[in-house]
Amino acid sequence: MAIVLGLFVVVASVFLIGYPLIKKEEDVKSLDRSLDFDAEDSLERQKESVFTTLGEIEFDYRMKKLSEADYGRLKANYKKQAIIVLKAEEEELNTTNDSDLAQLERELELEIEQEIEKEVQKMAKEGNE
Amino acid sequence: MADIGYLSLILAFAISIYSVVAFIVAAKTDNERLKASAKGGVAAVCLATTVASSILIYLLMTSDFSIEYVYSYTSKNLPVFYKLSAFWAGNAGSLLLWSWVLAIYTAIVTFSKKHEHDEKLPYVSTILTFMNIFFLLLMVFLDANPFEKIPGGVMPAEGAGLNPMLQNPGMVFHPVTLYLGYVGFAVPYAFAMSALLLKKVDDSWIKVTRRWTVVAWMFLTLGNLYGAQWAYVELGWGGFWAWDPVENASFIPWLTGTAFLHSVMIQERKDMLKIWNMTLIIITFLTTIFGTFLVRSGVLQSVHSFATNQAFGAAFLIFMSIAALVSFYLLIDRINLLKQGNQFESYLSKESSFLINNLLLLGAAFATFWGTIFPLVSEAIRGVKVTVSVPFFNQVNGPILLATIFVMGVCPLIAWQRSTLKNLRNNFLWPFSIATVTGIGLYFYLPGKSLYGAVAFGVAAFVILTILQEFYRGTAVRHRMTGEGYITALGKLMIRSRRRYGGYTVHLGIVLIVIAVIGSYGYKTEVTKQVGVGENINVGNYTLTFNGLQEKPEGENTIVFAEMPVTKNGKSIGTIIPEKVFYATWEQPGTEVAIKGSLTEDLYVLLASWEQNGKVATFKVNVNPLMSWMWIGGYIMVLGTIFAVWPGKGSQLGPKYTQ
Repeated sequence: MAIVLGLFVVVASVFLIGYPLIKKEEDVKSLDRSLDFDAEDSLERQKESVFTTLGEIEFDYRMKKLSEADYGRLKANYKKQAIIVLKAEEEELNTTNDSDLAQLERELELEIEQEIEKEVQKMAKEGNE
Repeated sequence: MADIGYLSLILAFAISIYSVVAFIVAAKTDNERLKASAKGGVAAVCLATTVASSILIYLLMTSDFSIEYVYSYTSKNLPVFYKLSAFWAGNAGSLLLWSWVLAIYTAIVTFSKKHEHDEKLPYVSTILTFMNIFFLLLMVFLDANPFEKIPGGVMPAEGAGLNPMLQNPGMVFHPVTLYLGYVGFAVPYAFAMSALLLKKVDDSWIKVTRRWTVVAWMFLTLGNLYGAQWAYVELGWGGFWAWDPVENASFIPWLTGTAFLHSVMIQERKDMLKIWNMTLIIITFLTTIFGTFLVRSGVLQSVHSFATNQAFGAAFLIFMSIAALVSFYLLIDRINLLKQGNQFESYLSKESSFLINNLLLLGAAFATFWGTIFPLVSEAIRGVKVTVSVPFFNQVNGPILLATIFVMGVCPLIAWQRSTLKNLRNNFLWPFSIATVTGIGLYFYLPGKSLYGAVAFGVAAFVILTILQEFYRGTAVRHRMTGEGYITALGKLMIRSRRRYGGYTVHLGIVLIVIAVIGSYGYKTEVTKQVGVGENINVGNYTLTFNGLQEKPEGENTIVFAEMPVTKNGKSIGTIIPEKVFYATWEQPGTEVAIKGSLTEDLYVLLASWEQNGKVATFKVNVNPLMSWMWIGGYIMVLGTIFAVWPGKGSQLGPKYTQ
């Protein structure tokens, strides 16, 4: 029993270390692909982050933790950031080539307002489910 | 079988070295095959330490006294429960447990899908495996082999048995949870060092290690809690905490870990305090090793100490010094990168309150550290070993920790970035007013007219009220916005912001513990009295009657006990039975505390000694107010932590504030 266990530990260890060295080349995911994935992921994270921040500012204001002035200033600041993120997202989708930049900004402003409203109303929807 | 256990340790040691080298070479040469092989090495170390641990458990369970460790810590009649706990009762076994847990954690990190594309991963695995080399080295080469055979090869008929003080359920849970916590902090430390090595000091290392940090902190909390519970019922100290050097050694990383847990939120949300966070995780990791060093070096006297030789102390000191030197070198070398980031915008902001909380926690950690090592410093400098006792720790840490609790109450009332006095006043008014009235009321109502106690209760009331206000206001806002019923709104509010409301629940648990500490320290009634048969002991509202001592056998042990009828305010509330246990395999008798507990107070009785064949006995009787809240608070803390880290939408990415 002891010998079997001893053999098992040794053979399993040798296999775990040795097999990756001799096995056939696998479809190793290229670094570029993982970098692309990271960039995409980062943009998505930024978007989620900025809208969550806007949601928290809204909630803190309604819980009377933020003054009217600070609320306005913070909201404006993060709306600007949201525009930048959404613009970057639009650029990634290559839809900006023929668009009028001013028009895009107006659309994004609208989109942000909708996103904020969506963030606030998300709870309402959940509540009614 | 023991030979296979030892072989597994040697194998784990050799493979760990291979893995470290392979990871480094693979990183330098970008060799994917070698990297995969190094990862395989991590799995092999995990397998080998698992086999070694399983063999030790098998040897303990089968009472194989030809193995010195099994002989030293078990006997045939020891219940299975304690045979298992003998695994970590001695130095060699506890090192194996440490190494095993570390190997499992390293394998989880190394093979986690989440870290698959993380360029820090090879460095993290290298650092964690390197740590394990140290622990394996101690077992393989430094007289801590748990599979060492009895000299002469003759198997004794019976083992020496487990120290009776260790025969308590606390022995099963306290060391394991502490180790899970200690070793758990090695993971965020390894990620932090990898971030420094790679010069990528953004908040990604914090995000990927948040759960590790919180879970490690939870285990450390549980470990301390179980330790306190054990000390309360078993050691006969009359309390749950005695500022024993090794208790302090587990409290210090808890304090710095708590500070780290909070300050990483600032980096995550505001891209600030990068240097501070690196420093905190380094200190937290080093203090976990410091605790292990204290237990094994023999430099301090403690109920927790293992009997070891000086070589162990030296080995831990060298390991700690190397870790400290390398960590702080990297920190200083990358300091310019860490300086980049945002600045504080306002003194009145959540982040500034977090910073104050951090400074207070660090202050308490430093005071505890200094009090713990002062006898050593004094001995080294003046040749005189000075004892730093309980009053020092209480006097220094009491106010600091009370201030920390107060800040814990203020913090939720302030918004991130900036707040105004008007907003603060709006949020403060009711909690502060009610807490003040509570404090004043308790000052006059409670015995002793203790100003300190009244202020402390007032602060605790303030924090509870702010937490309840947060729950109420959040629910009310959600109710207004969604039209949900209050209970649904509360449930969904908590689930959607699990981190925030899990955190508040943890805070609530802490305040309950604080209330228990204030009650049991500040309002305890203590009587030590010698009584003859038929005489009474009056303590507070209780009267205990001594009717003589009795004796009964329990297995091979003999129990001497006093069955004492108890009345409270003249009404009978049953009997209480303090005991002394005389063990067949141990010279020192054990004291079994008798406790009659309720939510308001514990009647706590110890049989200290007796004379004249048991016709006269001395008892120590305490009335410890509010003690139950310590255990309730502890479990609320753990539940809050689990709620906060439970996977799902509400536990995901938090908001991020910029300038």
